[in-house]
Amino acid sequence: MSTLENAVSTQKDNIEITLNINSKEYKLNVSPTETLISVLRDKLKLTGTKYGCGEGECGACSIIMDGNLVNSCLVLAVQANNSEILTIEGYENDELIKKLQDAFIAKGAVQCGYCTPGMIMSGRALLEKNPCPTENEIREAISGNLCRCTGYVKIVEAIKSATE
Amino acid sequence: MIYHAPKTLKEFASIASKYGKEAAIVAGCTDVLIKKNFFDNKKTVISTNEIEEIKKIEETEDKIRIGAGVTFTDLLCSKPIKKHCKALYEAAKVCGSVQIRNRATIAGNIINASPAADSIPPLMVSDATLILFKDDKEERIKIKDFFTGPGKTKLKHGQIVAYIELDKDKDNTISFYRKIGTRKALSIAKASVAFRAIKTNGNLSSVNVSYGSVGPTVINSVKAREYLENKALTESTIEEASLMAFGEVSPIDDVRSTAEYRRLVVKNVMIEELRPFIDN
Amino acid sequence: MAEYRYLGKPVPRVDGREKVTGKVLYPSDLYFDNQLYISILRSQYPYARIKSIDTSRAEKIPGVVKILTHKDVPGINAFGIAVQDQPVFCYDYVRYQGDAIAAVGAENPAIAEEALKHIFVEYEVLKPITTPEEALKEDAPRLHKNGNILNYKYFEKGNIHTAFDESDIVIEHEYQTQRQAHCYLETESGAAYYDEDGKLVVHVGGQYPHRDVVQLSRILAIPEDNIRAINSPVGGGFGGKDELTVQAYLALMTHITKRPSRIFLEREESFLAGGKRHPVKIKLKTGVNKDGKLTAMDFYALSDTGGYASLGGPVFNLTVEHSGGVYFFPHAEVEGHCVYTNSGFQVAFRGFGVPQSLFALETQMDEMADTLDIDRLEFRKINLLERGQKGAIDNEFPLSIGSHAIVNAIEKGDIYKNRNKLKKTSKPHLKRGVGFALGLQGAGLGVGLPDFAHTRIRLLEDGTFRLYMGTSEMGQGNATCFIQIAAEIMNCELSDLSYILGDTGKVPDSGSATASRTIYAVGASIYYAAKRMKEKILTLYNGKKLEIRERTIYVDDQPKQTLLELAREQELETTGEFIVPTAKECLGDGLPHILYGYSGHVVLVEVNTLTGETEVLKAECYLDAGTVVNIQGLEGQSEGGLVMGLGYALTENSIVKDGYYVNPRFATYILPTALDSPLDIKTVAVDVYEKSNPIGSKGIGEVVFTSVAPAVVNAIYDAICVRFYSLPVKPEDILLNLNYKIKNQEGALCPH
Repeated sequence: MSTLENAVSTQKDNIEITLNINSKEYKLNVSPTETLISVLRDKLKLTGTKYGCGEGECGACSIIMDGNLVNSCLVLAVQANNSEILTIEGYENDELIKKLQDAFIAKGAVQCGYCTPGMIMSGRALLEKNPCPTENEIREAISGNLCRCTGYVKIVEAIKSATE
Repeated sequence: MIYHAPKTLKEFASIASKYGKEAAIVAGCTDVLIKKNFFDNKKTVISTNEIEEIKKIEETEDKIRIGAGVTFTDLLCSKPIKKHCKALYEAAKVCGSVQIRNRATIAGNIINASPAADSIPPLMVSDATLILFKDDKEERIKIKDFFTGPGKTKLKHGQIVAYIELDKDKDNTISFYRKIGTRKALSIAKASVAFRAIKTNGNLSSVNVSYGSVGPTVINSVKAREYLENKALTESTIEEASLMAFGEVSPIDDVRSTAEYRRLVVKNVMIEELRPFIDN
Repeated sequence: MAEYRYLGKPVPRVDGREKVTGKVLYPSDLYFDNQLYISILRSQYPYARIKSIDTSRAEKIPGVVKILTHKDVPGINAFGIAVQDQPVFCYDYVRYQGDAIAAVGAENPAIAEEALKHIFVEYEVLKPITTPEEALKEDAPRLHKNGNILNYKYFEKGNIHTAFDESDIVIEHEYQTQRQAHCYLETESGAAYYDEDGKLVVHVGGQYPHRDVVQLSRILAIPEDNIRAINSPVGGGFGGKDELTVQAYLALMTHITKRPSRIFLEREESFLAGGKRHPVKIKLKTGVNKDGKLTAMDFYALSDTGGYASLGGPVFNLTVEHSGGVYFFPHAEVEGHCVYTNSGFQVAFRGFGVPQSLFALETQMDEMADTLDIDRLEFRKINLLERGQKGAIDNEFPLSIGSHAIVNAIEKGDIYKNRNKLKKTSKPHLKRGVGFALGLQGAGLGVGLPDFAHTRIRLLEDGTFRLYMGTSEMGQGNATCFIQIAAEIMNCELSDLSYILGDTGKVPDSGSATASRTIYAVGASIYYAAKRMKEKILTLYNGKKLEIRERTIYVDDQPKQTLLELAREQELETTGEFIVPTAKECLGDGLPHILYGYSGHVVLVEVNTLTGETEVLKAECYLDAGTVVNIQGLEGQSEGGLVMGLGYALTENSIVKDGYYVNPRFATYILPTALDSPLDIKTVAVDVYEKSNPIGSKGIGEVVFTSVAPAVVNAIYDAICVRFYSLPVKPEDILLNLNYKIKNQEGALCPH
């Protein structure tokens, strides 16, 4: 039963962390091997951030942590202690996200919508650092986000139009 | 399981030596969290993310010292790296994705020791030195002597890569890093080539070539390097050097590519990337 | 072209806001108090006999609540859309790596995962059938009771032997297409629970909830009325979620334990467990005369359906039916086998057997044109099937044919017109080529299969209208189109309408979201429901012209009542029905279709002859969608279909070796990223009107994909004069072929 003990022991939520998510403070207990995406979705029920692959290959779980776009499936929750996290749910207080949301709808950049929160976060991260990106810079910025529905064209158009 | 996030190298060293093999040491986590059994039989997770002293890039007149905790994005945002470590800069550009670059550290990439690692070939051709830290002792080792097999290094338990030191490019340094991936982003190299040399009056000196993903570890060229030393770059010397490259790599077939392709593409990358450096 | 208020316009998606805010709940987002987490024990072998299953140790693990095996299935332990030959839980054999054997319900996901390691299955490992050729051998083990052949087809017309003898040129090749994975971003996942009415709700992303209820009712042995399936919205389907995926495990777990349950497949498990596109080998022999007229076709296809049938039979029907593409062959022999193997399991996937046939045919068309020294587009024109002519399986094309309009549009298009200029490159080792291909896709299910759409419109108490449709929104944008159609007919504002999709507890049966049929059939049904609603309202006020403005009813330009007032007085509800028209004569097994959508793809590629890498620089997508309902939606589907086609042509391959999956991860199954896809994609909807639909529309969900791969492969030939007969065409294939040519001095590279 040793692998079971191992599974159970690594799952013990014995570390207290503080996360600032969308300007709200959360104190919670996590295990040292728990990922940030698991905290967001399974513990906090912030399901806007999506789980597509669990290995940083699809970007559906992208969020902004301390100003940097990251795959939350590859961030240990303990390492996010005291970080400022922005997820798609934080749009109400974020003008850039709101602009992107309007642009995505206006340009038809949403189909099944599953990649959309991650794409919007990637767009948000780009526009914060580079308010006037070229089309190629936009493609680079979203190259860590897979989409199976749209072919990316309208997503790039949407991000471009959000700069106007 | 216990979690530690030491704030200094010294603090890290004492915790790491206490746990030895039972410590899971993590930095950006972009490699380790993909490994299913990484935390098996470990008693502690030690994060190096809060050790400020290894997050800096410092330059002296002819060297650059990169802290272990520097991310690939940090490399891309660094003026000294862009100016003085061109091959490494090019490698950082094509590693992973924005999300991965924001977390992946240069030391993590080195210690993971994949023959496909993007930072290793450029560091090899810059003859980089790794500065290791264990207990209170510093140890220096050339990166070309650091790897013993795929995923294997000479790093001891409780030891950390603290800094990476390399020579700055000179004004007449020519270099490149070219990665042939499975696609243009989010890809692991099928084959990669790094090159660095000094070009004076048309002749090359201090030539270094290194090949990634075409052997059990990143390969330091012998034949192509020796051949090009003191030669001028022409279509014919480039062709000859590329044939040497073809002969001194030992790729395998795997899920990403074939040995035959890898060998051919290493040869052709030498040609494609060296051509623009030919004097008219 | 009629002037419409909403049809043809880029109306913003009605489900856009909830998706961009992250507020929409996909099946993978459902969490309930007291829920059980399900994990599935899957076979590690591609083929084995099960000798025993011992769950006793796993059952003792604290936190494990229930473990289900075949013994726990109250009804029929089998499912499958066309043929029910797949067990919910294996009991005698496992037939592919990924076959389900047991389900664990536990208090948390970690315990559920851990418990799997403590279920012991005793296998007698058997030698798997790894190729379809093996499956056809006399001495091959029989994977199912009726043997290894799921579907055999044979059609002939005319006399190909004489025709070939008399042809000026005969070309023959063997083609091979690969196993492609759907890679919907949302994996198979969902929840089961009891609703306020005590119905068992199974909430999983799928394509046909009413059929899911039928299958689940058989499995659970409870009446269909006691089950409610909700399957919309879905984070991508593409045909892979038409069949049952995880619904049975959820339904059984909740039915037996009376607790809500949740399942979420990790990506690797999704690759192992889920179905794929059929890999098909095609032997194609075609004859042609010097005047450019095709004479005969001898087509043989061998399709690998893997361990179970699912929709393998119907998919193969289309492979065979579409063998002649958009052309007229006076003589043809079309034959094929679709066989079971132990190499994964294959299901419906956008294109449904057609991309494989088109790859063979459209690349061979180019080769024939080049051999005859006739312009490749001209060669297509000479051979387009005209109304009255019959297809390869002697089938008729009574409804709209869009191939002529498409060929003409290609000719006038930028890429084709300027191909010589566009092919110039800056460096000698970069070679460019232009290629195109024509495609078609039979829409609807075929003869004899129930293919209907029921819908409903109701005036709600709050003075708005609600549309009820059974089909699901997988991203293709049909929900928006239904709203547009209803708003167009009722001449109201878009905001007067809301909708419910894909919930059997609330909506009628509109058929599956498959076969390019939702806008065509469900859209037509909504059209009729809206028309009846309009007529009812006009009858109430005795008028002829209806407009609804600011929630007020105007009849003959006179304001009559507000919608709210009307709603308080009357209960207004209408229904819509539509039955997809079918061929008069069945040629066997549901064939043929009579409704086809058409496509043409033109691409400009650049091949790096030093690295073998191919980049698609520009693409034009010509689509025959009939009347376009939402132009932005059409473009979005077109662009997505093109990029999926690039993946199919250049990088994607779900490899199964000796029955084992080699690359079941996103790291090794290569999808195009934004940097691998061109931004320069132009979509043109050609002017065609489909009379069998009340607004003239046709579906395009599949044609946006089916002719892309041959266009790319034709373009590669145009660039480097190397033909490829199998997909994907990777840099490895290109570089080695180029190297071989150079080594063997087979001429210089094409002097383009």
